[in-house]
Amino acid sequence: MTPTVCDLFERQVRDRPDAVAVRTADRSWTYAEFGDLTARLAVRLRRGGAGPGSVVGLIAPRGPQALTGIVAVLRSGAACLPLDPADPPLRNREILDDTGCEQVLVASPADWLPGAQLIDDPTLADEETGPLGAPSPLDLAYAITTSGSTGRPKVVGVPHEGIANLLAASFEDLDLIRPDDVMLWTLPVTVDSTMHDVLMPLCCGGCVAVPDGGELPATRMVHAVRALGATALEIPAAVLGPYGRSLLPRLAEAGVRLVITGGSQLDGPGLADADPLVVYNGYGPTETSVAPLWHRCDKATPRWAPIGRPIRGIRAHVLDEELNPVPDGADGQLYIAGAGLARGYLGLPGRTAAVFLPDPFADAPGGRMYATGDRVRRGPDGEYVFLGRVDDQIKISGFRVEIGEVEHALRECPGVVDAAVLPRQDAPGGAAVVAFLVGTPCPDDEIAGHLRDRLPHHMVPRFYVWLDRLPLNRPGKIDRAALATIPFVNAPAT
Amino acid sequence: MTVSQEPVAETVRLIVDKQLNLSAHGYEFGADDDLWALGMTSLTCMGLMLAIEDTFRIELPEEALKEGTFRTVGTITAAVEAARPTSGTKV
Repeated sequence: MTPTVCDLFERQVRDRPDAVAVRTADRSWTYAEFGDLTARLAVRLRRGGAGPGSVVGLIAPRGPQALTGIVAVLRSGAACLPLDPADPPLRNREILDDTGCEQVLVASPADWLPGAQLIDDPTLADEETGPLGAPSPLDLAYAITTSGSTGRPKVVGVPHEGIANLLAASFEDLDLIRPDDVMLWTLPVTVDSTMHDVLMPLCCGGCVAVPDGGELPATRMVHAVRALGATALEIPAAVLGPYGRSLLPRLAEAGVRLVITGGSQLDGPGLADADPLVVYNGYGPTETSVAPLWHRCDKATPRWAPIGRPIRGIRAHVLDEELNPVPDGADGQLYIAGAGLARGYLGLPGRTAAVFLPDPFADAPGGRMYATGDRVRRGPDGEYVFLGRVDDQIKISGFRVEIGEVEHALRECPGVVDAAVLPRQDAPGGAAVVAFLVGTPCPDDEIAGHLRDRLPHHMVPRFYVWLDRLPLNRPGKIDRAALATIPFVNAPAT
Repeated sequence: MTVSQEPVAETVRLIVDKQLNLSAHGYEFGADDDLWALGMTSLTCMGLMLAIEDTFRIELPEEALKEGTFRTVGTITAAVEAARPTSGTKV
């Protein structure tokens, strides 16, 4: 039977109790220590009712507490739902309620969350270590919030089986982690890649290095690598594409052997020029367990990097609109099937059924495949290449954003009659989300303030342009090509 | 203050403009204009830092890697001067 993440971690606690599991600039925890710390918190959660089938919220910034929280929730048998403490409480409250979270772990007390369990609660030292949860491979390991086009976020539930399949491929097929690796944790707690980045080392006997918080963490990456002795880390494709050529040699010199990337299309030069450092590009929607396809960058990798080929247990189909396979080299939508599939969107059976379809190519009846919404092509070498979206979902700093959700929130702002949202790479200061508005103009700050109560910060537009009307094309739809050329009217950023 | 500082400030200004795409939009900016207010993001700030380090062949010390350092052409220039092995005070 497939092991669960809990099985894999507990094996390391037994086999190498004295190895370092977690490290910060100030201190480190051995597997024995981290095992004990997370077991006590897991027992506390279990006494509160957590176990296989339940969901526990985690609201903490990246740090040792958040890591303790993730592992403790998993060991209680429940699924971990990480939320960003910087996101609007209203939105976080809604997500906790929608997913039926009865317990929430926090790094620091929050007014809007009375009764939340503090992760470093001193009374946990008195907690007796009792039996932990024993989830089965089909129980959910984590739940990740993604943008929803109708103005309400969707929460993707991923079973142990999905992430465990990726972990097995990471250890045995891709060489993404070794027991002597120190993996620097660089991503936000709320993205699914964090689960891969931190669980990989903890499930193979390696070490997670947690950098200090504070301003501009990306600029301090090389310093953090040196200070913590990191040998591997993830860098979002949005950063690695434009800046990899300059950044990778610095990291190689500091001792990094492997850079994992992903989150959006990898597009940039010099990804194989920092030998012996290797860049691995992972592709996948959250609905398919972080990344079911991987491409190892080498000298032949073009600037527009392929998304690679499926890992073990995963099948990828390129299909036309009638769900017929297209020949290699032809465009189609990518459908993913196999061990990595999420259970679906928690509490949203209709939306789940709309994209998790019966898999007509499965060996056994009952298989499902996920419609990614990504247009791809399979090359003669078996590598898949991303071509674009079939809908208007966009990526902002690697976060998936449904334009509809932002437009919906804009239309609810006072004075706004209609709204269209567009990412503009050419915005002053760097790529930005731009809102084009029709109605009674009001100060940008007012609109942005209203949105900040509703949306995560990465979804709030940076520029607001008021128009007499939105440009339409022939079929009467918003003409996004026209919006892409409208000049910025010297509006300072908000 | 020194003769050698002007070229540094001018080079910094050119790097900032290229990284942040400002004059292309008709934005004029002086040595004291707040680049964060002009739209700089943490991502483009990263590119700015790397371009500064590559151009001047320096490594900014960790304590300089904060928002204030990258706020204006003037603050960036000061950080570059401080990080250069032969700092401009001698001229």
